[in-house]
Amino acid sequence: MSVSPDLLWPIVRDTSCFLQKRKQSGRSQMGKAGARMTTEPNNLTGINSFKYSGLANAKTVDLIPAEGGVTLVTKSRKSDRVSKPKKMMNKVTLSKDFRRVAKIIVKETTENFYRADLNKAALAKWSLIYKSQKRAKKDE
Amino acid sequence: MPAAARPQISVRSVGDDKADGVGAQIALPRVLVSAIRSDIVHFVHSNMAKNSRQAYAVNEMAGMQHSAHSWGTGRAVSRIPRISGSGTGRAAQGAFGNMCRQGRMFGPTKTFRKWHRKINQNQRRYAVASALAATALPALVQARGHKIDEVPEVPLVVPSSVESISTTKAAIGVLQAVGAYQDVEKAASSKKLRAGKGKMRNRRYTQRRGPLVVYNEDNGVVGAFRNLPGVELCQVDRLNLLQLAPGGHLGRFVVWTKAAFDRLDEIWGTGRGVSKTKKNYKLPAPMMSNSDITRIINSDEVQSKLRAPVKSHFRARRKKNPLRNLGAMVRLNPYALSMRRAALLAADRRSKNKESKIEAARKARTAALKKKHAGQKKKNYARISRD
Repeated sequence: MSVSPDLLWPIVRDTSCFLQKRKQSGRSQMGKAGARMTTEPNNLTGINSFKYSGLANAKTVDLIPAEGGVTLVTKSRKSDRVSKPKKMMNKVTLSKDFRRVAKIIVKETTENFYRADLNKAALAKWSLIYKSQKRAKKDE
Repeated sequence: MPAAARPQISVRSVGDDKADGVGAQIALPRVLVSAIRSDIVHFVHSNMAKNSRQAYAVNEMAGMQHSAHSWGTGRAVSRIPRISGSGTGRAAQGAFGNMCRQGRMFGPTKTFRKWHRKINQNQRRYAVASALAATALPALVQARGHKIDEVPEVPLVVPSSVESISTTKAAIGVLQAVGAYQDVEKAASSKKLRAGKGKMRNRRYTQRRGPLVVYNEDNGVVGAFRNLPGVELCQVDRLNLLQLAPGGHLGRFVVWTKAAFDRLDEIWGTGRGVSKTKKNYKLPAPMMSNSDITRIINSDEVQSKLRAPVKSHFRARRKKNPLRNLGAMVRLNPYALSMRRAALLAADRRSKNKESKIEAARKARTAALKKKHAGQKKKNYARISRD
């Protein structure tokens, strides 16, 4: 059963088992509020905000590190898949070189008209994953 | 919302694909599309939770079983009542007050405290309807913490034959077949000693809640499922908000039997129709029929009525001092340019004048001096050369 993200977000934004709230520290420019992060799946950056929410949004993008590459996880656009948790996600394992994977990410977010606003964050995450994997390889 | 528009839920197989009703398509009952009001659920839950409390109070005579009297003033002691008698250390000690040792507490707790709360029937029903609707949304069930990644569909409906299983082994089989066992395992592994004094007060362990199995007729279900950690059972007619929204949080993972699922429309009504079992009850009407604000904003009907956005490209200029900055001055007073030019020329003229005057004066002075000392040169030479 599909419900609008606008309805889900106010419920999920402060009541969720994934929510991680922190006290104010350092000079965060958030006034008295500390960091608001989430460990929910499908959240690209882990920030608890509507844009990045993996629970509220009908279309999400996430990159999960995998063996020698990354798994690109997106939520299915098919309307009947919305209430089927097992079949809801589209998973693609990408284990090519940096530029090729970056191109695929751009294609799946922007050129697809899927979630162009997540393009930047997705590419940034891929860069970080790639860097960490290179370092891991070096340590071996 | 017409039944035809509502999505179809299929009954999932639990092993026997030929069991009664497997694969059947049921339209989503109207309750599961109710407005989701976490505020009402929270209010009703917090009051409902008070209803199972047991009274506690201190003994009403505690601290008061003395014949203590105040000694009054004039004896260099404070005025609290003091224990009468002598021959023991207890004599003359303060009594009765909340500040006294062995005294009665402030505001002794009474059994006649109002422990239970009445909640309006309609509010109770609204809350349950909301909580039920939340169980139909995978996002909310996930957010509540249930593991539903392997579940084929939410809401999860299993054949009515599940109501007749009698062994826990079979129950586990059912849940595994339907992807719900992950949640049970989560509950099982979460059993921990309670933090705090509760552990000595018969509340030794805490664990997470697993799936809620809702059935219509108990032909063994309850006996089969009740021993599984985290699993709770509920009959459809008696749905409990404390089980549907534990802790006041929406989104319990519910496993429906087909018989129970079929009964929902009958029990709650179809929104248009009144409920058959709840007298004169109609499901609450949501405030907004279409809650997708983003879509409304981006719709043709709305966008076609909007004017173009006013984008101001104005940027505040840094203030330049006209007294120091000629350009700023000229912006204010265009004549300043020619004034400045005239001033410069005048200054130039003045300095040239001054120079020529100084030159002339210097020349005159030199000539005068020369004249004054004209003969002296010869006299000096004669003096020096005279031996």
